[in-house]
Amino acid sequence: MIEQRERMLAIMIAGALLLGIGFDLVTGSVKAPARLPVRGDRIVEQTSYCPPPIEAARSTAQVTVASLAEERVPFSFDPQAAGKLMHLESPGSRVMKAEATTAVTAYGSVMPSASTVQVYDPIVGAGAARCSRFASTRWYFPEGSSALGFDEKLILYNPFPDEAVARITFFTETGDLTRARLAEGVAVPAGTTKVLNINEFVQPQPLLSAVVEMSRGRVVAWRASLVDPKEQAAGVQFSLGAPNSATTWYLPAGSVEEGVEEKINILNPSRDEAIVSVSLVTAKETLQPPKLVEVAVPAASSRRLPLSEFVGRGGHNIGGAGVIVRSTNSVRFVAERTIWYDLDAVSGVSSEMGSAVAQPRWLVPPALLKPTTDTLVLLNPGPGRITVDVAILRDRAAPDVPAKFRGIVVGPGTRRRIEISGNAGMLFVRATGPVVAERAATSSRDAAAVMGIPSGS
Amino acid sequence: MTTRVTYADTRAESTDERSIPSVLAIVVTHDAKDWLRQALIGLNAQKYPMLDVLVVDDASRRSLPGPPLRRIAKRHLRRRRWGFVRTPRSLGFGGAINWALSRVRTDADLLLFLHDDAILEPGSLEKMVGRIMAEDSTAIVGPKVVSWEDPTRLEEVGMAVDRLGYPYKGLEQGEIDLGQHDRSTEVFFVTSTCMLVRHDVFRSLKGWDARMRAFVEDLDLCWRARIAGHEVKVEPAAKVRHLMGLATGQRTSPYLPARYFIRRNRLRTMTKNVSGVRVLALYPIYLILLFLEAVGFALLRQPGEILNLAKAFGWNLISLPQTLSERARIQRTRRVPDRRLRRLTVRESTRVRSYVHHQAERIEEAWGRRAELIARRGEAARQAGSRLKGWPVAALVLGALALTIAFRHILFDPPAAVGELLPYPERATALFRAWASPWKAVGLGESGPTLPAFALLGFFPLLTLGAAGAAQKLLIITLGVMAFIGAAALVRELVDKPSRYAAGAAYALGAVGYSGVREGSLGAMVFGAAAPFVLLQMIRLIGWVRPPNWNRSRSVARVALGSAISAAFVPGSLVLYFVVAVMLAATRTFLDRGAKALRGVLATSVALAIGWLLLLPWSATWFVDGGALSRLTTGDTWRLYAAGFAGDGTSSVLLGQTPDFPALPGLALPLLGLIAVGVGIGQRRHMALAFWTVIAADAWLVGAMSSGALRPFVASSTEAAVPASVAFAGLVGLAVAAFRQDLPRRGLGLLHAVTLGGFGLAVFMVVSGMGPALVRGDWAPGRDSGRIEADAISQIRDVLEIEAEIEGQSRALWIGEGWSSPNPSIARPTSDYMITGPRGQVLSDLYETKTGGPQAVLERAVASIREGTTDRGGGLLGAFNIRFVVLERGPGTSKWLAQRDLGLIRTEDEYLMLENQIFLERAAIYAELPSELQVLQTGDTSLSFAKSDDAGIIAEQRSSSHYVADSARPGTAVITESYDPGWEATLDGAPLERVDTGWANGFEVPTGGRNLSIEFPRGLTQIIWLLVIVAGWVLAFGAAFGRTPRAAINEVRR
Repeated sequence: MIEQRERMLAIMIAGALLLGIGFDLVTGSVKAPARLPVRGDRIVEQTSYCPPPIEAARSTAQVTVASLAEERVPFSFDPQAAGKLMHLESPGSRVMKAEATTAVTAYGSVMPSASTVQVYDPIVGAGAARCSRFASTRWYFPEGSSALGFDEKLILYNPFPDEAVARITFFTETGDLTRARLAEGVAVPAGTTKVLNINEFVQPQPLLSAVVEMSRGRVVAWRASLVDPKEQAAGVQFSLGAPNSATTWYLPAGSVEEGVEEKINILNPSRDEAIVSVSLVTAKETLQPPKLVEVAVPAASSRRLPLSEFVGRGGHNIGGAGVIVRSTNSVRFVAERTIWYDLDAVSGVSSEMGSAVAQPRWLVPPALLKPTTDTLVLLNPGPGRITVDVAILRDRAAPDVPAKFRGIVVGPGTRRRIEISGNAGMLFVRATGPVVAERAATSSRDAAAVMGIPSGS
Repeated sequence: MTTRVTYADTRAESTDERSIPSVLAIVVTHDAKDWLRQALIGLNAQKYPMLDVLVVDDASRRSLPGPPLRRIAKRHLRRRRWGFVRTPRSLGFGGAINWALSRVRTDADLLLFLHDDAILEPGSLEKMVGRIMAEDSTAIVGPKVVSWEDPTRLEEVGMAVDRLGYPYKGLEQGEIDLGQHDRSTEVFFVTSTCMLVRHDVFRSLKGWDARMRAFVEDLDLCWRARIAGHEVKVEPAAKVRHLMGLATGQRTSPYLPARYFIRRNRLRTMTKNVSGVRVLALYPIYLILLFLEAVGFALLRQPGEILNLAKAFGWNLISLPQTLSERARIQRTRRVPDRRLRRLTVRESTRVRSYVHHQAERIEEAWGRRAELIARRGEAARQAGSRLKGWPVAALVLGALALTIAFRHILFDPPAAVGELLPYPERATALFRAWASPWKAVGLGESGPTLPAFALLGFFPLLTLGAAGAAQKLLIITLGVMAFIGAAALVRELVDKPSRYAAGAAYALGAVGYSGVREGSLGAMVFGAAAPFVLLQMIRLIGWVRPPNWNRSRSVARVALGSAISAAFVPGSLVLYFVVAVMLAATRTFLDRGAKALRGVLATSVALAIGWLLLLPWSATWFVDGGALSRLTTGDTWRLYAAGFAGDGTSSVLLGQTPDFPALPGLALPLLGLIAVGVGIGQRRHMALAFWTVIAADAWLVGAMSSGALRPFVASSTEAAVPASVAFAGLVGLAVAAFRQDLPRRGLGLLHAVTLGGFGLAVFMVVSGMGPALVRGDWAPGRDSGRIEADAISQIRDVLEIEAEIEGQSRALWIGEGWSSPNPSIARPTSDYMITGPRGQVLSDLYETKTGGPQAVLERAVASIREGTTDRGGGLLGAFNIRFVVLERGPGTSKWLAQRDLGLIRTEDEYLMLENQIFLERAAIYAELPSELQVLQTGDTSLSFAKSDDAGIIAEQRSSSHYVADSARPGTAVITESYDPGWEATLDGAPLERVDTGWANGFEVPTGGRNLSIEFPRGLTQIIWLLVIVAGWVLAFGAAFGRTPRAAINEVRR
């Protein structure tokens, strides 16, 4: 009797376990939310760090600030207007003169900003660079040269209350180049700007990419180069460094035609060789030059790609073309574009860092304050057609949205140039899908380009 | 057990004899040798006519050589009426006499208590009787005690004491008896070597204090007699030769070490007998002396003695309720105030001089014998070495080596900081203080009920004398040892010793410990250590197995205690215990219809309810919003806990993979479980089936919680699968027993082959699976969890501590999952950031509620930084007194680095450290409300444009709930602790008005004041609760482990 009960119990246990296993098989696990939602409004207060005039006594700088908020935005402009709280009617933009490295702080809102500089001596030229929303422990500069005629400077700004120490490493086409005085560390005291004249440290190199790495603290870093080579036009290169490497870079502006020489500089800071493909995006289609399908960039080196040498004979006059540089082996890199103009209407040089993101909303600062030509270039890297509206933000007035700036269609894999007339300040680009926006401008003495500032969704 | 009392009526009574008082001599003996014979001859030789003798054998070993005690008594007490009784187990001197007198009816007027190693000289009894009868007030008389070997040497002529109950002989070492003390005097007490007591007085005093077992009971009896108004005298004309067998090492005693019993009984005696106010004054002195003694022993490198001190104190603490009840009874009989006894006591200085003199002689003697001692020890070591051979010793050494290798990370690394397994705070009493404090200094601070877990964990740093690192290691080792002992005990009534060891090892090295250590799941480990003991008592309550002399109440008390300890860390363990009880009862009922298993379930339910009550008032908060169980089962958070069960279910529990465990040894568990059922016979098989039902039920629960069909009531699968793991350990023990004991009883056949094969396979799986895990040291806190190493955390703590020493108290914000718990738990809710003090997260930071308004404000500030809407996060965090941000490197790092008021002060591969330049002090007075608080309150960041006023006056921290400043200025006093109306501020004693400061507490400071005090006062309710909790636990411990003489007598009667 007892044994029979034991057997029955054993069978019941086995049955229960089998049922349980069956239950396991037909049910799934509970999925946890990645992070519990945080209720309540966010606290908004943001500062942008804008570069100083390249040569304090021989150049001027202006900062364009903008806001898309729906109400007046209080902001401060240090150190020029220290202790003074100003207000910007929003949405709108304002141009302000900068005499030093500037911190623009918006209270309760976001205030993207960018700086343009005019240089009068020793050369005459102009350039534009975005202000940075943050300081970083690493900055990449693919473009650069210490060759004769290039006066290159790295501008390091430490907005923090502690001293920062930066180590600078250079990369050439043959590998990295360490200079003891820079590699050991350059101190940037708290709240100060340090300008490094690269030619004082490095032998002449035609291509000299740079990486600024912090051994302590973090900084904002820009590169400025006063260029006056014998063979090419004089001008100013001015750009904000890239804080991160990426596998894709978009460069909407650019041209491959007679009198214009576009060069793509690729810096591979990683320990693996990067294989990249470079595509040209025209107004009609995306072209893939065969020689640019697989371009090898050895580990810890940089490479300069003059497009005219790679597009083949038939492609020498493609005209306006944006560039998309992609890594085909997932090695992250950084891409920067330089355009040399040697035309009757304009001569000069501009360089600008690529954008690693495509977004539907952009604020696009002016590249020059008094341009001869001013162009907004929109690049659609996606597979769908995108419609774009562009508004001109103004100071103490409502945004201007001309009819021709409404409903601009950018086809898939194409780019679109929009001529901006007048002395327009910040542009607000709103698209139905992800695009990349850049602004290029020329004057009689120089050319400049500046990438837009992504402005969220 | 039966005890026979025999009286040999050999005495002729006459009328004359009836007129003198009758005496009953009681000789208590235990493992006596030849000296008992001498003692009985001495009694037999007394001329006193009205003398009866009762020999009480206090459970001597029957295996001792020599004739039985009864025969000795019969041979040497021919002239006397005599009796012989034997206690069922050793009760100690006093306990044995009490027990004997409860068994024997006697009308003797006087009782003579005599040690079995004491010879009463002829004629002594008459003199003692004469002395006691001379005055009615004399209740106790003792003789002059001399040496057994040399009767000219004095041993004792009455005793004195000091205020603390330390005895004082007043004799020189080896003093010659020249009649210098031959004067009958009143003394404080006489020893139990030989003592004549009036029977009626003895009865009125309720006899000896049997709880003392041995030592100091004579002092206690005499003290009580004195309190009741009786006198104690010494009659030097009466003489006793005393062997002092225990002191001279000629006999053994079950009551060793003697120092432990002496200390413990002395404290009990003092507590019982000293009058009301004096006892309160004496306790601090006693504690200081206790501490000094401990320090002395530490210097002399005698940890055993320190342990004895702690044990003695602990015993008194546990016995306090009973002691207090005794005290009340004794004090009711008081007729003599303590001051009238002072003439019989000595000053401490006298006693200390004597002590020092005695110790000096001892040291001198010890040095003299040093060479002899070394030689003897050398010989002992050689003998021990010669015994240490053979495979058991080799296995023991290998096992110890393997365990050391396996647990090397726990033993030798810095304190772990993973999950709930956090370092101890620096101060030895920090956890007790956290337990008793009305304000919990955890996170942003919170009020709430006392946390029983803190009190339980708080004992370990006391044991390591404040060494925090060692305390954590001791905690883990203790839990492992407890798990081993518990699992071995679980099957001890059913299996032999090797099987018990197998069960213990399977559990201690099994999945709960493995997974618990790796995930830092302290709750699971405590639950795991307590569970086998609770299950054992449940098995007894339900009637599966009951040992002889089993006591239901004690089992209930033990279940209550075990479940309370488990639930202090894992509240849901109460549900699991109940499920286990139901399964055990159901199985028993099914297999044995007549069994009254329901009674066991009811008893278990009562015990679990008592367990819950022991955790009050904390346990009352489990179900409120944000409470321990509410967090697990409701709101947005339950999914976080349920997701932790992913991959677990019936199959994983069945295959020994839940909790997380190496595959092969895990698979060996069900295989051995099958062997236990298939091969076991009788009760072993039944028990195995019962364990399988527990596994099946637990597996179902895990599966249901994993799928979301049942909201998790425990935080992780490691906790949920504890009952299954215990059951598997039991099955391992039963399988080994079945293999060793049942298989040989079965006929040779297929079963042998299958069992041998199965057993071999299981052993292979265990060895091949555990071997590599042992070598790899898989029992490493945080291993494979992706959490930041303890070294790095220790490094950060060092930096923070140095800063805290220089700059004062502030908070640190730790960002990233690398610091958080691998699995969320009750004690450490899930979060990818945490707030700590300057020492990083320590055990007292557990059980943060993480809900409420202040927490929401902090969350909003952190979210603003993370989402990049602000880059002045330093100001926001500074409002919370956060001075440092420790940032795990990861995708969100750049947002933190973008904060322009956070300076980067340290860069490492795994983490970054940021320092906040703007932060509010923990408590300070500001001219105006700081803008940082206003920004958080209003959301208007432009308020931060105006620079905040620096804290003019910073208040000093007295404790986590009290801040003071000895100067003040008009403005706003802010204490950066979570808003709670319980915070109060006074200026020169006058209460201050509250100011709305958002998340913190603010008070308006008027002009003209000086002394500012900000305090979260301890309420009367909390004090009452603390006392009730302590009393509850003491009572529960007493009920679970205490042994009363009445219980012993009942056992015998049964």
